[in-house]
Amino acid sequence: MTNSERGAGEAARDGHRPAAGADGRPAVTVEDLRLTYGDGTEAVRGVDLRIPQGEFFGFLGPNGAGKTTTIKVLSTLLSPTGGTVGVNGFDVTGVPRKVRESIGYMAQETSIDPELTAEENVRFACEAYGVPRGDRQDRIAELLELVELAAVADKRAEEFSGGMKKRLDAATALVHEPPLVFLDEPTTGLDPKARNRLWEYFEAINDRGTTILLTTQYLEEADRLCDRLAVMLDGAIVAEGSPTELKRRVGGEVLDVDLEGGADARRRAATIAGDFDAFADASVEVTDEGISVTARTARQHGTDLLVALRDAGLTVTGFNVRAPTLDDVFLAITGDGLDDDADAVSSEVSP
Amino acid sequence: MSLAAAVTSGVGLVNDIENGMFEKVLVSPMNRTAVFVGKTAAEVFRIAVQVAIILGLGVVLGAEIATGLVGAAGIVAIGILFSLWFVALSNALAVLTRDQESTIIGANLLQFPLLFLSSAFLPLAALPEWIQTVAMVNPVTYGVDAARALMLDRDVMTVIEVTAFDGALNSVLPGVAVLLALALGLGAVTVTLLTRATSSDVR
Repeated sequence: MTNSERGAGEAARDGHRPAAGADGRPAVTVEDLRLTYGDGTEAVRGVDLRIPQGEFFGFLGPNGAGKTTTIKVLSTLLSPTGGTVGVNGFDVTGVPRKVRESIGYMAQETSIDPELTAEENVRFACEAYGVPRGDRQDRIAELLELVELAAVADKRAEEFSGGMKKRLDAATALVHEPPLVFLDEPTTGLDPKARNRLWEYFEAINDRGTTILLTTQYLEEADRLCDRLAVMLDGAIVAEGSPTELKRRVGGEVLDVDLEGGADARRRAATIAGDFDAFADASVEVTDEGISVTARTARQHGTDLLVALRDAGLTVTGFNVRAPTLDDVFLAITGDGLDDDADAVSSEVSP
Repeated sequence: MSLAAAVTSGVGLVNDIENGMFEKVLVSPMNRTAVFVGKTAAEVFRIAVQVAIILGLGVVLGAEIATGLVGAAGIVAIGILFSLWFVALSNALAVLTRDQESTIIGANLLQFPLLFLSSAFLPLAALPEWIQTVAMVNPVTYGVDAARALMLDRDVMTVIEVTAFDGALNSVLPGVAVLLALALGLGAVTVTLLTRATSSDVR
């Protein structure tokens, strides 16, 4: 059973969820979205997108790629310069209030009121979204329980750690049980433990039938959470597919081997790796210290290659198997790595 | 005094813009008029308490409100009305500039000339003619004269002569009318700005 099928089933069973879950209309439709900021920056240049209900969809890309801008258009915070955008069947420019009622939005910057307690923050959100008075007490308790903040419900938010603030922020975005939630880089700046807890929490929401659109700079995060991904670069989608499909384009994991000896030893090692049976689809590069092998089975058969190298009389001084990074994905997709300078400039114009 | 308190209202909004709460409100289905009314109500309550404290202190120190308790309530009401237009103005500045310093500078820049070029500190007759002209179009004059008339129970308004009513009302009613019109006008501007407010400037 795929994730989206499971999502739809959950939604149908869940009585008090908005009816949007059942009719099969996509949660998000975007046609030729363009957005140019007042200073002339073309942040989004022609994006097409279709996200079915119940899907966990991810926008992957570096700073300034246009991820946040796209999400802000979808959540009515920015009016598109061109193109049509439908969210839960409502047009973002025509009926923005209908859109706002049907979405949850968690901004990149944590936005909670530090002077209010956790409980008061969620209560304020209940009021802003018009949650019926009779439901509020239960809803607040349920959400604080879900994000594991029930024990500190009466503490002021200013005392919370970064991870706790993010979890509280996420809870406030869900008070009206929206069928669609936007998460804009929700884990940036968190430690691995806090990140993991947030992930579990997002998975739980998605399992309840909520469609999620997440932006992230981390391939690892997208890989763990998303059913489908769109890779954004310079305001356009450069690749789309499941994490597995995208990683296949990279060609698997990367095994770096450091070798003793000169260029000759490295060339010999590269030949051995290239002829290696277990790495049929591998690409091998000679590096400054040794060789770098990219193969789908690099993790399973890496040790076999090390043994083969030793048997050939080569001395391995170090090795490392790593997952492909976002940079590897971009390298595979665009044939060009991320340009650090361009990154820095464009992150300034990103709001 | 109402003016000074009202200046800070926009600063609060800028804080909200900076810490993301404003965006959170924008993305919610909340009516934007409600956003402004709610903010203003909080401000008004604070200002009403401040005016009441100052009046109370004044009485303790020997000042006399000629129109009694009703007049005192009236003065508080005028203080509130007076603050409304400046709350609106300062919030409009906040939405436009999105910057704390600009909002404070903008609001203060208006605050001091408005105070000094009015009947607040000196009787208009004692001031040069050009100040009298400015004071005539200065809303502060109307607020101050209306409050003063209630305090003294006589017609003290000199910028325009109204004789249609009895005594102090000749000052109070035109003052209230001017302030009300201004509050509604600027309030409408602010609500319009809030309704159109988005997260950034877009072409």
